[in-house]
Amino acid sequence: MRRPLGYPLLLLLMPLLLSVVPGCQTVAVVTSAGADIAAGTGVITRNQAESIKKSSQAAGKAFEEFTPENEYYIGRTIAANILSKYKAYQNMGPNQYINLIGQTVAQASDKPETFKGYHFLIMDTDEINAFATPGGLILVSRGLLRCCKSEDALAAVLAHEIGHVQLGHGMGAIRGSRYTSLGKIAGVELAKNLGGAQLAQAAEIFDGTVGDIMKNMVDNGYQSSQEYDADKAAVTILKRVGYNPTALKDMLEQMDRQLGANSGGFGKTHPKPHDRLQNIEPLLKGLGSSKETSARKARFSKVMRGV
Amino acid sequence: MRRVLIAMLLLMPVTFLISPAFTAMEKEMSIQVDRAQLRSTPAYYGSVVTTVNYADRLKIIDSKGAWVKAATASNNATGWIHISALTSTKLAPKSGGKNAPTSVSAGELSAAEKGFTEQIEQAYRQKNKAIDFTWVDKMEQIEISPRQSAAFLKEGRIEPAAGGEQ
Repeated sequence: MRRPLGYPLLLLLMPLLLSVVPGCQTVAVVTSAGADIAAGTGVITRNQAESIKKSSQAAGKAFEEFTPENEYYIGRTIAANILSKYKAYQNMGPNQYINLIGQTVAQASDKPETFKGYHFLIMDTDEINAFATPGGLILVSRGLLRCCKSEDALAAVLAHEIGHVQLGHGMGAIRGSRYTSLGKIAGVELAKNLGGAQLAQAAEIFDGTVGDIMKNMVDNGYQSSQEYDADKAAVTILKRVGYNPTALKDMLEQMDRQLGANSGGFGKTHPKPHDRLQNIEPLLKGLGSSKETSARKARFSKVMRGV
Repeated sequence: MRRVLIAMLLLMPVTFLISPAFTAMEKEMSIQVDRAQLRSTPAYYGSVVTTVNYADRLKIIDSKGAWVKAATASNNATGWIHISALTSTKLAPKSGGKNAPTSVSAGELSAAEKGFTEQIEQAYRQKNKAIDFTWVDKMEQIEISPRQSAAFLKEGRIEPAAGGEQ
């Protein structure tokens, strides 16, 4: 049977489209698709495809991509909503310590630069939980910190959350209709500040956007595959910095033991530690067990004692 | 033969972008984050050459992985910066910011710059008075400098793994 001509014809046209269409938006979309196709056929590796997609996205100025500043304001509002549900843990010693680890580790991620950087705060609850908002405001519970028996394990928890930010999991929950509605407002010639009716419209879309992410992050939880991807990202980040990635395994085993009456929403929204362990096991092959220097041990137990 | 032809056609847009790396990238790019550093080496632990601010324009010189070597237009300082800090879009400096112009016309602002900004947060807070931003502001004030990071790693004897490229 003869195949229809459409497919090869489209392929022939692709380079032509690239050279003729001047919009960066189109270029970004076409190159992402091209990279995916090429990787799918085994012509280039998946890593190469990702890097092409990343650079084409970075170079593109499509409105579909929220700017880091947009992400920052979305993230702030989500963090404020979460902190209306969970109180902040006001002991600044441990908060400063997790920022030393977290902000240092974030610099080794694939997305070290966000609009106003990564910041970490402890939530005063026994529940085992954590939230990574777009833009890099990251909230972790005392319950989760108690699953960490070393600085390396703590770094693993924070690196996992940084992984969610790096992979855009929060922003991925935004419904397509929000972009369409925003595009309509943005299309109108506007002054620097939005006027009355447009401001009200934009504020409404903002509410919806925040709601989309909250629903996914807090109520339903990310997909299991997204949790596994964040674990993988964490292993890479830890390796780059010099923390021992097997600490992620130690932490998950500890969590498995502690997850019980105190699990709160976490048990429902996350895959079981056992399944996450299976997922990271191949990445940890050949790495020694988690050993720490005495300096690291000393500062960890000194700061985290009361948490 | 036909398969080879299709594979070649598939690759054309890809090679167009990657060989040589970044030919498709703009000669000049803007800083899209509030503040970032140019570093002496293409790595997060490279020492800081200079600090750059939102909307600053950089001349692109070279690239390695996800890092770009660039020079500032103002004082011609040269260093490496991670691609996640950059955009090809020309951005309007913030009012009150270091590079703020006296006025910004509507046409200079991209669509996204008019999107979710401080103005929208203010509108949200007016409507949702029970949502408290106090600790969001406080957590943002916890800033770890590159120097503090370096000292923290040194004290804990944490060393970057060989070949752990970003």
